[in-house]
Amino acid sequence: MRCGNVFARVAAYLILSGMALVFLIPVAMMVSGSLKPDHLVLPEAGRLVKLLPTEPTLENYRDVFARVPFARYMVNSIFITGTIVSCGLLVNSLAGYALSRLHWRGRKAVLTGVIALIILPLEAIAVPLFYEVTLFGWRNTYLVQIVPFIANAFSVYLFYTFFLELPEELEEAARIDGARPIRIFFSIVAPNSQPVFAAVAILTFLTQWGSFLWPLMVTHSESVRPLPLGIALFYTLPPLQWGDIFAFGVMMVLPMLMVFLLFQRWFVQGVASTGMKG
Amino acid sequence: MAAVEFRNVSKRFADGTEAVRNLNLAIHDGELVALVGPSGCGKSTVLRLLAGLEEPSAGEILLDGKVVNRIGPRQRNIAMVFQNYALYPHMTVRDNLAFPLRMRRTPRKIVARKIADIAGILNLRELLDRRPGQLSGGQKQRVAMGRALVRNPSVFLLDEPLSNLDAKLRAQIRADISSLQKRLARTTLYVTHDQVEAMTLGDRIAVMERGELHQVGTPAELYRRPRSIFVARFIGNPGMNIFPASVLRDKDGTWRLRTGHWDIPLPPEKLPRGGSPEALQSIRAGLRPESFGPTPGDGTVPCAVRATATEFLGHETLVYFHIPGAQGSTPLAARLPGHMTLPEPAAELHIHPSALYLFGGDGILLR
Amino acid sequence: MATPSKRTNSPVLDGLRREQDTPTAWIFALPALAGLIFFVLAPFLLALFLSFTNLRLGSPLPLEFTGLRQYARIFADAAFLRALQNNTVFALMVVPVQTALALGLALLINQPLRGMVVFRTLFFTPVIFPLSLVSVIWILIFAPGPDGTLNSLLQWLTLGAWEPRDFLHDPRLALPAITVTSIWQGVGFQMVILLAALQSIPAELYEAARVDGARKRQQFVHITLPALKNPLTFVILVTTILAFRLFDQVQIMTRGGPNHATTTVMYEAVNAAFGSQQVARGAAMTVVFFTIVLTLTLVQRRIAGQERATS
Ligand SMILES: Nc1ncnc2c1ncn2[C@@H]1O[C@H](COP(=O)(O)OP(=O)(O)O)[C@@H](O)[C@H]1O
Ligand SMILES: [Mg+2]
Repeated sequence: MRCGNVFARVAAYLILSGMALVFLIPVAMMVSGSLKPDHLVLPEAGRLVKLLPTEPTLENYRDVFARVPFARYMVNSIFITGTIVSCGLLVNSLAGYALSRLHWRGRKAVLTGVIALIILPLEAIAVPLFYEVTLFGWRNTYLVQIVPFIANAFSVYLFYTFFLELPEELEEAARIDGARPIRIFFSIVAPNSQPVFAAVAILTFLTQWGSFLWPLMVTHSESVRPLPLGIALFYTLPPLQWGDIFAFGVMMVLPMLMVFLLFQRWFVQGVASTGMKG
Repeated sequence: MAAVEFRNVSKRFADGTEAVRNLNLAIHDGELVALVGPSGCGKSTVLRLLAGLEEPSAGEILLDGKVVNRIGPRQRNIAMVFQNYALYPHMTVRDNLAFPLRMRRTPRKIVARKIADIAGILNLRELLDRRPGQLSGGQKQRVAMGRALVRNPSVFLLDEPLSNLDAKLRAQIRADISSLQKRLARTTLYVTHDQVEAMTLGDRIAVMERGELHQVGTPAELYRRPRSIFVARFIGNPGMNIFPASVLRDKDGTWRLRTGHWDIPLPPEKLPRGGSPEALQSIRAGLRPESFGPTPGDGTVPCAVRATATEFLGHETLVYFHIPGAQGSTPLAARLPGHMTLPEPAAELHIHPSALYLFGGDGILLR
Repeated sequence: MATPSKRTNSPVLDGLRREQDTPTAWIFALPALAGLIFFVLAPFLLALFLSFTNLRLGSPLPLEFTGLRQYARIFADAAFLRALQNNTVFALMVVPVQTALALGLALLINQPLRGMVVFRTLFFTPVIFPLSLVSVIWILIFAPGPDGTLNSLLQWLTLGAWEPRDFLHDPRLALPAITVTSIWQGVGFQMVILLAALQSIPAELYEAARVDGARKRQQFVHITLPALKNPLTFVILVTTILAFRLFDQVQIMTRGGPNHATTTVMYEAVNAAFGSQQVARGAAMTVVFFTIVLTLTLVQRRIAGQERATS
């Protein structure tokens, strides 16, 4: 589809630029707010020209560290999300491989079960899960924020469909060379399946990094809470200091943003792959 | 080294395709058997059955006299070269070669030595640190061979190993494999759809069609005494000319073969034993393109031909012709030495009656 | 040379016969299966079970089967009914707007013009923002009084005629405000899915259509839309389910208020179980929630299945 005339092209750029503003301004407000003195953020929120802070200050960033255990939240978030992602990749890819490639009694039944579980979102089971982990005595720990989210039906399914389409010849060559399934998986299949590992890693990361409902339910001490609870706490913790909140926000999102810009191609492919399976 | 035997082996896939039907084939220790047949006839399935990648639906597969039906590829110590080579793309050539050795817990030093040896034999020294993606087709092929040979397999399987190469490279690697096989004398099953490869490499050739084995024999046996029209056509380039004909007894008691304007006296040793006179009325006769001569010789019979095309190949000429007065649309081929031009469409070629083959209605050689 | 018989391990593990991989496969699948059974299937069954009881954490009353009483109670509860209504209204606003916007952006970005990757990056960026952060930013945008971003923008646009509103505390505006926030955060996700679908349409199809004399509009109707059918139904389903999962924004921006104007099923369920320790009541609400999700999924399957059958 070639845009025949200049007019259409200009119109396209105009619409896109307008939309870009809608997407940019809230982000810019956050960044600019984080550099303003607290008392100026709200009064200047309605003035576009004030997006450039008149007297930028890093005071808010200092305040964040003074008022809440920001580093703790960050470490918790990285630890929780990182563990879920890495363990999830291992566990779910192994299951996906068993379902797509190995011959075993019960394969069909397990596959059907896994696909059925995809439609159960966390929210549908949050309350009984909350009750269950209470029985286990797991509340207010890292464990309770990590273990329930390692196994993921949708991840298993993504791995399963990817492995199904992988040509089988390499694995056959490896079998003839004398490798056992576990070896075949780690030495041959996994190194040639980077796209699906990246996609699953990123989808897991996106859902877990912003996780709010569950940690809110099962934790109460700052020592194990992740970043999203930190910012909510900040918002509810008087006095309401907008500059601090936004400094917190910038620091919270900056690592993600950098990872995103570096691996953008993988992010986009990862997200797109979910739609392809629909 | 090992001997291989298929006993009444059949393979039916889950979707009902019967890829191999009642296969009986023995491969002797150190022998190279070439398995030929058109694409889709079940050759790869036979290889995969032997490798342990597929399990036979019926029958037994024996390695050195032991039934291995229920033993996986890992324990069979068989090596295989895949049609697309199946080199591990994320590993260097060295690691590809080392993989089968590592899987067998070979000590590091021995691995290094074996890789050096095989790299020497196959001329891979400069390639050891490259990845498969950086290799040409011929180089990949050599690495695949190396990976198969490096661990002293008891049986060596190759699935159309040359089909992805261009003609020149194919001839060269064919020669390499031939000399390698002479030196190493491995028990080998070599699958190909190319009869030239089969003829040049095989100690014996097994011809398959639609899951069934037609004939097994040395290249000379298959060329001289093809058991069926299928084999006769498959072996030779071009394959044997096959045309409908009748065998009749003349008033003077001699047997003659007639088709169109051709009328060839049959020598007694060509006469089919038994067989009803009616059956003899419609048989199929075969003549190799090599059997035609441009000039009369000792005991030859002249045959009128209506030439339709000639192909000059340098050292010889292929002449395509019809038998005057006969039905049938496919032309016959004759290979004549040197540069021949047929002066006119109607001419004569000469054959010796002993070169004739007679096949029954079922396509099986009568005598 | 190692002969096969010297190996000690059993050939059963080698994966030859139909079921020979069984032990290995179970080892492979077990960790994931155990996780799914313990933390998805079991809680779900537990939810079903608990919803028929009177369980309350820390209550001295003995556990009792109360049959459908929890369901009777929640469906008699005005707040819960309001939550159901809010979720529905929210879905009816979010789904069409967000899908149309995602489709429009995808179509614009799919043009062979320079700089499209930059726009794609921009529109996708909010997806990586946690909803909690997005909610806080938009609280500022919706701030009451003439200083609030949206209020001052609307005043500027209407040349001062706009009366500043307190969006998040106005019963009629709070839910739409949450809707806008959600669309801003989520539209990039849908856009990327649709864009991938657009880019997987072979260019020859359009060329063939042009040769056949099809106009732009006809090309869109006969080539683009059919190719987008599956991703579109998928996107619509996901957006609808997400609409019923609405929680984070409500918790941070309005806490369900004012006067239940923005409460949602999940908000009520969490408050029941977590706020007032009424686990059984919360469980019943999540069962209702699951029933809605299941119904939506089945309807989508049905539609997709019919389309597959007709095409
Ligand atoms: N896994 C399979 N499932 C079903 N049919 C198969 C399978 N593998 C091969 N076939 C069929 O078996 C027949 C023989 O195939 P193959 O052995 O690959 O032939 P060849 O190697 O001689 O070309 C073909 O008809 C093929 O389609
Ligand atoms: Mg084949």
